[in-house]
Amino acid sequence: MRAAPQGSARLAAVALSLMLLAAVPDAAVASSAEQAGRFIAEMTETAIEGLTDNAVPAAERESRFRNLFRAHFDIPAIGRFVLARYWRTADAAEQKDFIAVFEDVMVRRFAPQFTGYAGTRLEVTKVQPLDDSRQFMVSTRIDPPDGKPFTVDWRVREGDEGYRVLDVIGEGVSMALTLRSEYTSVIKSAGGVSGLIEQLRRQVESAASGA
Amino acid sequence: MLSGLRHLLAVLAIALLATGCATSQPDTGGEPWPSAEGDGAYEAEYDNDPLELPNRFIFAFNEMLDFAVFRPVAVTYRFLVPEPVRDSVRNFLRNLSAPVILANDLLQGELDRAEATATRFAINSTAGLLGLFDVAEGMGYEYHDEDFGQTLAVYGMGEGVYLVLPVLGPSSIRDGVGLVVDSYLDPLTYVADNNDAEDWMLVRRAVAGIDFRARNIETLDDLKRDSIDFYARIRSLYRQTRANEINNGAPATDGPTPGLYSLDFEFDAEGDQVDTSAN
Repeated sequence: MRAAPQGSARLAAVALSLMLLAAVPDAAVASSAEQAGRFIAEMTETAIEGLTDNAVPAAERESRFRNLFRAHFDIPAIGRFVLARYWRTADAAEQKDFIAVFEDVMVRRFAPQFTGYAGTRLEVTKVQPLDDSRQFMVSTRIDPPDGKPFTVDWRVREGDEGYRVLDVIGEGVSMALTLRSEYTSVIKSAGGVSGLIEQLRRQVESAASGA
Repeated sequence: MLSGLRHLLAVLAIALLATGCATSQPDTGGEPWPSAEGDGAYEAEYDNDPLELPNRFIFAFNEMLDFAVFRPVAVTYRFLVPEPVRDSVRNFLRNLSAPVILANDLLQGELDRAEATATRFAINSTAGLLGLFDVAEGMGYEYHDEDFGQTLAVYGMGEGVYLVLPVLGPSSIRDGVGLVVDSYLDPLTYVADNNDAEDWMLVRRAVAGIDFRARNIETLDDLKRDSIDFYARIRSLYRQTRANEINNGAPATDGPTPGLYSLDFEFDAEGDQVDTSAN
């Protein structure tokens, strides 16, 4: 009997949220798109602030980039996309190893790229919802202080932990697609996912000794 | 010499067109890159490269040629010739190709772009001193490229299959055919033929190649250092860049070639990434 008031309170809460849900869908979609745009703008702002200063030691910039990359990119999802059907043929240990070395490759590759982009401005030009209602394509125009402006599209997904980037498309070239084409080709010729992991490890090591 | 090159291209294109018809693109539900379902034929489908073996062979040959000739010449050219002169060389070559670009603008029904090309040609050939200076750009008529391979794509022709051409590099059956047709669309071809000056057409191609190579020394070095399969990376970059050029930079969201916007990252309805791995 004591449960009755509690029960009716719950009922009221459910009814209230249902009413709200019925009222907001359009607004919710619009604000999700807006938030996706803001997410990209804030991420690039942080990157330009923290990664363009040459006075900061390279190792420090690299660890900053790694944190930023982990917090803003869905690395496992990108890794699975890149391996395509081979993801399913890999065992759990290989999947884990691949994601780890893939992160290292990306960090080594992109962490040093930001020097020279101090003072770069980024403008979100358009946010377009994709077929999967939780994904958006955020179009941006990047205007470096010296050099021509260029366009970058960011595929962003709204997940349980917030927004995450799935793909970066520069002037019509998709990072995820390019890597998928290259990695699956290596898997075919180098004897499976383990062969790919080995080659990527070697690449990370040689980049480390070269720097 | 030029007619020799054209002949080679024509033979290649025709020989491979037969292959292309036989292995015409599989039905991928209208998507150029089918999602990661399916059997072993799947890379062959989305890389569209059934001739990978001969392509890799020619690619290796081109790399060797690049290492031994093109890259050193490009480095020397960039070192010896000051930038304004190099820019004038490029302006001059671009102006020479204006008739071909104009023809393709018109064939694609792109009237605004055709007008820009025609205006550029008129201004730069006169005020720009035979094309040495790009004064039209400052007046709001920006340069754009266009070729018959793109025109064929606009008409709905698929790329056939991916091809690596000797010396000329990444291409496709469609783009190879385009190269041949472009040389017939070019008034200079006929001028040269009538004056026994075919060699100059070859010189023009060579200089354009060196100019392009000199502008991309670091980019290509980086790309190569960065790759674990340079051939596969170049193939992917070429095909994506062409798709982007064909759409004139607009993302292909709808229409006959759904592009990068419809890549499938395989999230299911609950928002979990589909995982059917056997572990």
